[in-house]
Amino acid sequence: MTRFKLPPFSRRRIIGAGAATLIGPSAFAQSVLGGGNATPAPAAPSGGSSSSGGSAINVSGAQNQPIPIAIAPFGDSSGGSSDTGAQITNVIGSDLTHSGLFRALDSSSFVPNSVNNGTPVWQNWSILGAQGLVTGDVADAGGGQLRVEFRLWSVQQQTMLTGTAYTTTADNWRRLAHIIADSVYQQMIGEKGYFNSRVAYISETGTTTSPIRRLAVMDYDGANNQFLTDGSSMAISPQYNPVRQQLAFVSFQGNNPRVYLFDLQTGSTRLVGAYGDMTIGPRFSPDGNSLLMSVSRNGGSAIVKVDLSGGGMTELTDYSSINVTPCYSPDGSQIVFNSDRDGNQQLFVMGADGSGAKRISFGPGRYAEPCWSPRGDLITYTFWGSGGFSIGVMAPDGTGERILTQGFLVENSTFCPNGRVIMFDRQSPTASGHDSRLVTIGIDGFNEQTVDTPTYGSDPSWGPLLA
Amino acid sequence: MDRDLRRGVTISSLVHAAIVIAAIVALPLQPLDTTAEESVDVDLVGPTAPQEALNTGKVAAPSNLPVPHQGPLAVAQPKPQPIEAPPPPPPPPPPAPEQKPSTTPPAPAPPPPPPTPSEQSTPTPPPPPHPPQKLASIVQPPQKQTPEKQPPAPAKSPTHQQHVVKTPAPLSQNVLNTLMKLQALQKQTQPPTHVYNPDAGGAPNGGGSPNSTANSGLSGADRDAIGNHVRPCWSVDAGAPGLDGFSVMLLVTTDPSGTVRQAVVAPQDQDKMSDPYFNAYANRAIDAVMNYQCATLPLPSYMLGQNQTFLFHFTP
Repeated sequence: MTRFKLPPFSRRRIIGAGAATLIGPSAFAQSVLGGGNATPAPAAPSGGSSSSGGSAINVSGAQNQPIPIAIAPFGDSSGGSSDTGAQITNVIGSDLTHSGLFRALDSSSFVPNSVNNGTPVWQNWSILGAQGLVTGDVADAGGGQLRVEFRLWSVQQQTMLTGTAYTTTADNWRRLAHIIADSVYQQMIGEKGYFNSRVAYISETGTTTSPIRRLAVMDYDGANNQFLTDGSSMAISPQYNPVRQQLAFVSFQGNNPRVYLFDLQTGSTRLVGAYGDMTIGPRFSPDGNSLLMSVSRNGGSAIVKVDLSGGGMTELTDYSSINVTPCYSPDGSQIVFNSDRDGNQQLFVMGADGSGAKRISFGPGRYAEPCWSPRGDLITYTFWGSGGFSIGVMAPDGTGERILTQGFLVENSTFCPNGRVIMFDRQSPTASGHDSRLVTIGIDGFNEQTVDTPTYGSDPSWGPLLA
Repeated sequence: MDRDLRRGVTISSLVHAAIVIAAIVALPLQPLDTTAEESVDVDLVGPTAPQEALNTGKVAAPSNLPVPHQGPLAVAQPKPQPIEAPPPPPPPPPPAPEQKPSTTPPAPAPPPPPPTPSEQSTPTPPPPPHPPQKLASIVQPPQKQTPEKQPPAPAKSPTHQQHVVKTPAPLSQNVLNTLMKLQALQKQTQPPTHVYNPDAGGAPNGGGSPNSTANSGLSGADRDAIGNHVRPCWSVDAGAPGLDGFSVMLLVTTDPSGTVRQAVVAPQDQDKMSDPYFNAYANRAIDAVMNYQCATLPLPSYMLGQNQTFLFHFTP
């Protein structure tokens, strides 16, 4: 077992409105419009938007295009180049591009010296079509510490949107870059990002007939990979605790599939009850204090709830059919699960106490592995029918079903912390059998990207945003 | 009895006669009252303070008749003015500086030797008393001073030439002259009967609202053209929750060339800016209209040449 520890972190906000005010839009407008003769920002006519919209100039039919953003290379505090700064710049650009909501501009098109004493030369950036601009620098804070400042600017409005300085250990620069990217994302999109997060998954090596499956964890982009088990016992179905550094997974230790907990801080594992013939498919509750899983008995399987603080087990369904892969809604009031009680595998939603189960899927095929979005508005699932396997989403009431991607074998979808991106595994047939890769895709079905992992991977579970 | 009756008749006759005489004596007073009202009109000569003119008229009415003959006034505004119409003989050149007090009416009046110049120093001439006299004349303008409307004491030309008394210009039909006549006709000839009272409320935005936009100057086709011009730069985050319900109003200011120089969220939508999703949405709208590829709006030519402010409505 490997011990995983997060390094300490500190941050402080460095810049308020002062610097921005100097070059704010009001001053700009006054100079351009001719000072006192300029029309001041007038108040709008009274009335609401709807009443004023009649004579207003209507602009509709918006496009869904990524925000063009320029990320100026982070140099050192004296304006020179910095290797760490360049690495941070690359990660920020990669993060933002990964989301599909930003388009990082090619740095080769930047005009040299377009940031003077920390202030952008606006025309050099606006001519590139940039809407956002990220600038920053890196300094050695002494004692092995790194101090990184960054600023986010609105190029069109010629104002600074946010600015922050971070201090951390030098080897923690990658996480710092993720944090900066999250800050940019939040400022320009309106919600928290997902870049400073980790993913638990199953690393696959060996042959098709004798695979080695190990529990592993990595940054969302595949960096900082760590293997948590040695592969002597097959591990499957990892799940990230949404509030603490803890994993649940199924281990075939002694050829007896059971659910275990893995503490990422200490590296210790412990068994979660010895119920029935086997326990599979664990899912944490939103508060992280209880676990849903399936207990097999007499050919059937029931969904049970286990209190992790030492309480007992509560059966939420019976064993008359196969009820597996439960998942809580974000508010913890409902559970979506997979059941064959109606003849073949379909999705059902029931109350958190097991009451009022209601089928929500009715397509011509089988549905499995549902996962509720952290935003609460979507459920992702695996579907297989005559056309093969697919990853799809639907509303919690079963409406709005749509397929995001298809393939030879695609399954095990999981949402990122803000619900914008889904990660799943995609297997492709090869000469030696088939491989399995982790893939991300936006909930709009665009921007599919393969995650770079050191081995084949499957069964991803996206963890929470790190503090 | 007859004697008593006769006495009674006599007394009665005397009494009636006395009443008739008294009535005859009282009758001439009536026309005096009418002339007293006319004096109010004369007070209108004061051009700047119509309110005061009205008040003074009412108060001074009963005493208007005797007042015109106040001593100092007669001295300050002597009747001989009309006599000044004929050009006076050229004055002797030296006293030019002392001619300045043209209010000293009698043209022939050579400055009488001051009575007491010899007492002390000579440098203190007596012009100071004149201004107070002017004030007095304004306060108590006699209604019978109508002839005073003549040009006051025509200044004597240094060239000794007579000023033109009458020109044919007023009879001209040229455009400028016509305009001047029209202007003269539009002059206010009556005092305002109402005075603005800020305590009484009224229309606070009277005279045009400073909050208006230039949208009303655009036709529907103009608005469509501008909206179509900005549309290529308008993009949204399709994954934002509640996107379909979003719309934002912007106040967009253009410079004389029609290029957008400032865009702000209109006040009616400012309260929504605390919603981070709406905030991001509104900022993307601002970025769209300020994008250099879309910022030069296709405004009608008559709207160019000055700053304009337009109201934009951005919907997904």
